[in-house]
Parts: sequence; C-alpha cells; structure tokens
Amino acid sequence: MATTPKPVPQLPSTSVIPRLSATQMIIAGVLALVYWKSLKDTNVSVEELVNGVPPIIELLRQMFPPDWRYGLTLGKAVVETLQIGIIATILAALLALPIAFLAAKNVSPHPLIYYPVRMVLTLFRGVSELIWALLFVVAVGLGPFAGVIALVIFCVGVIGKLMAEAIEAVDPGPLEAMTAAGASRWKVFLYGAWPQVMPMYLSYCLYYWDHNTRSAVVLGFVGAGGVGYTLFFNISTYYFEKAMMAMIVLVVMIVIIDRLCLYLRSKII
Amino acid sequence: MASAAALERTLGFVMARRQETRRQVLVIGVVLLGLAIWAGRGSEFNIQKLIEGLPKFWELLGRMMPPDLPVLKSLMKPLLETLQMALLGTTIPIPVALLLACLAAVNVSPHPVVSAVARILIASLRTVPELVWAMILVTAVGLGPFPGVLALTLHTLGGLGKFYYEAIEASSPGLIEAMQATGASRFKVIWFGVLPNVLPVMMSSTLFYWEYNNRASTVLGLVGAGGIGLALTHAMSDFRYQEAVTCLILIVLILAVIDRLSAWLRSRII
Repeated sequence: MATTPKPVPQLPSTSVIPRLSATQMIIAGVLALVYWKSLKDTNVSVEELVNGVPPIIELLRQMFPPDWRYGLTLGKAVVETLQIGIIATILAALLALPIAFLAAKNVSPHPLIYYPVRMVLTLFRGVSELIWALLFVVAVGLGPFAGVIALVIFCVGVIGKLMAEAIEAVDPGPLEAMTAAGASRWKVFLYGAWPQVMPMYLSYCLYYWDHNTRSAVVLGFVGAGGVGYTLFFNISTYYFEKAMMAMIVLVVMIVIIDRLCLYLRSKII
Repeated sequence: MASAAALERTLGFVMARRQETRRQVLVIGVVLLGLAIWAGRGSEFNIQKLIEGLPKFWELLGRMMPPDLPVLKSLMKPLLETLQMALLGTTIPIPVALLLACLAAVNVSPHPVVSAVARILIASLRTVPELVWAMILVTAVGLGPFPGVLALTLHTLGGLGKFYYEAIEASSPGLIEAMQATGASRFKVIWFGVLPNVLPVMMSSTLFYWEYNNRASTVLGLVGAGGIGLALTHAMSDFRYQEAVTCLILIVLILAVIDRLSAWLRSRII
C-alpha cells in the first residue's frame, strides 16, 4: 500500500463563481427542480410579468391624482385603526405577563400547568390574526371589536412565549441571594427577577404595538373597521383615487408609529 | 458615627429613588389607563358582547367538528401553492434587495443621493403590508397565485433591503479600506470584502423572511391571491365549517413544520 500523498495546499478559488462539491451539486439540482415546479404552478414567468405591467400601469393611472379632499374625511378611520392597535396591545401585554410566568419552566407552579399553557400559546400564535378575526367575526359580528380580540389572542401567544423564554433565562443568582436574605417571594420577584426581564418586556410590547397597528389596517379587509376597511371598500367599488388617498394616509400613519416606537425605545431602554 | 451618617444618607437616597420610581409608575399607569379607556370605547370594546358571543363561538367550533378529512386530498394543491408562493416571494427579491442594499448602504453607495433614493424606495416597499399589495395587484392582474407572489416579493424586497443595508453598514470599515488600498474595484470590494462578511446576517434575515412569508401566504387567499387561504375563505363563506377547520389544522401544522425547518437550517448555516 502506497502512502497517501500529502495534500497539496490550494489557494482558495478566486473565481467569482464558487466551485461545488458533489453533494452541493445534488442539492442545487433538487432546488432547481423545486423552483422550476414552483414557477410553473404559480404562473410566474417573464411573459406573465410583461403582460401584467400594462394593467398595473392602467390601475396606477386611475389612482392618480389621489383624491386629496377625501383625505380630510379619513381622520375617524385612522383614529379607529390606532385605537384598535392601542387597546389590543395594552390588553395583550397585561394578559401575557401572568401567562408567561405559568409557561416558564423555572417558575411555573407545576408541569401539569406548564405544558397545557405552552400548547395554548402555540395555538394562539399558530394562525395569523387575520384568521382569528375571521372566526371572531362569526362570534361577535363585524366591527372593530372582532379585530381587537383577534389581535389580543395572537399577541398573547407571541408575547407570552417570548416572555416565558426571557423568564427562563433569568440569572438565578440574585434570586437565591435574596431568598437567603429572607425576602418574601413577591419581593424576590419584584426586586430580583423583574428588573432582569422588564427591558425585554417593554421592548416586546413596543414592537407589538407597531405590529398591531399594521395588522389593524389589514384586519379592516375582513370587516374590522378602520382605515383598512376604507381602502378595501374603495378598491372593491373602483374608487381608485380615494383608495390611493387611503393608502397615502395609511403609509404616513405607519411611518409615524414606527418613528414613535423607535423614539420610545431609545427613551425607555 | 461617620458610618452611621453615611448609612443614613444612603438610606435617604434609596427612599427618594423609590418614591421617584413609584411616582413614575403611577403616572405611566394613569396615562395607559386613559389610553385604554379611550381606545376601548373607540373600538367598541365590550366584554358583554364577548360573553354573549361565546356561545356562538362554541357553536361554530361544534359545527367544525369533526374535521372533514376526505377533503384533505383536494387541499394539497392549495397548500403546495402556499408554500410555493412563499418560496418564490422570498427568493426572487434576494438579488434585487442585494443590489438596492449596496446602493443604499452609505459605506459602499456610489453617491449620497443614490443612497437616499434607494432608502426611500426600500422604506416605502416595506411600509405597505403585503396584503395591501396583494389586494391592489389582484385588482390589476386578476385572481391567482401570481399576484400573491408579486405582493410577497414587493414587501420582502423592502424588508430584506433594510436588513441587508444595515448589515453592510455595520461591517468593519478597515476591511473595505484595505481592499480599496490594494486597488480593488468597487464590485470586487463588495463581492470579496463586504459580502462574505455579512453573509451570515443576510442568510439569517432571509430565513426570517421565508418564515414570515409562509405565514403571510396562508392569508393572501383572503384577498383572492391563491393558496390555502383562498380555500379557507371559500369554506367559511359557504358555511362549510368542517372543511374550514381542516384548512386551519393544515395551516397550523405546516407553519409548525416550517418553524422547525427554519430553526434547523439556521443552526446549520450560522
């Protein structure tokens, strides 16, 4: 048996296109097939895109100029969207916190509580808030209230899970020290655990406030009021100039909320 | 005695701090409560309505049981379509987002004006929710998965563009300077210097958007853009609740699988 020759050190390839190993080639081949099938099934093609351009331009042409005067009447709808976002975030933030404590392994009273709570949280965030809204519209009827419930359910699912993870990551040292010093359970929580998780809690709440305001717009499509409903109504009745105005108002609103969140975040954390 | 005085001072300081914190918490609490009451009234928040609605909700759940399993077979195609829309809606924007990000990142952008324009484009694409894009595109080019893919592409373009340019801007300036000093062209600086540096961040954010788009593409059908959402909407509006719940179960399952898959890929790549 000949001794294996020493591998010759090779400079890394300087080509712009990297060389592929056999496995990588196979993966690339499979991926190419998946993409080819996807493109075919979803009718995405250059031809379709080219055919799609004229109708899109036509629609845009009909959207301009936006109906500026109509914008003045949108105030109420914007306020409604903002209100849906605010109440949903406050309620979800309040509800998620105790649930998070039940869903955190290190502080949950019992595995019999921990596992079901986790499962419920997974179910809550498993489907999009839009689908929750679809279900609650059946229960409480059309209107912003159905949207609020949908957002609260989804957000409790997400914030609950994120907070449970934050609580699980709490450094146990200070808590043990406080317990050893004779602090009550409540004090251990308030002065030991809470300062560790509060920044994350506030950060998540702010993030989901932003998220909820955006979602509140979309919830209007399934009849949950606000500026989203205005947009939906105007597009489906072919008032494109008004729809464009609603879109401009919506974008401005989202940008302002986004900025406000950034500002609050920098102030708080 | 000096130490007792020091202790006194410290205690006084602690008490003052505590009072200050209490006052702050009180003020914030009152403001939030006021906001909640105002927002609750505006959004027709009504616990009574919820309690009265609950039996209807239970009834709805009752009518959903048992799930309609034979319909599963016919749901496979819309389910696949949902996944395909998400895949294409995440992949198609990658090269365009990369290009836009290179134009937008101040440290590699050819000109500040170009950077500002690219940023505005990215921000406006990102700001419009994908469902709004979908609704407009469905109105323009008709029902089906094609406007769905376009809608995801547009929104993702904005999202990925932002992630990418932030990653590029955060990459170390020394590297770029060193490459420029050796006389590398702008393209080479980006391709061999910046990109390998930011690749992990880019992959991670792309995976994030893949996950996001899978979730989004399950509801695109609500405005007529194909996929399982369309099947769900049809089932709901025709009161075929057993079929609707089958769609719901499929959505939850597939999103859980995607979640796991994405976590696995993330751990493999990064």
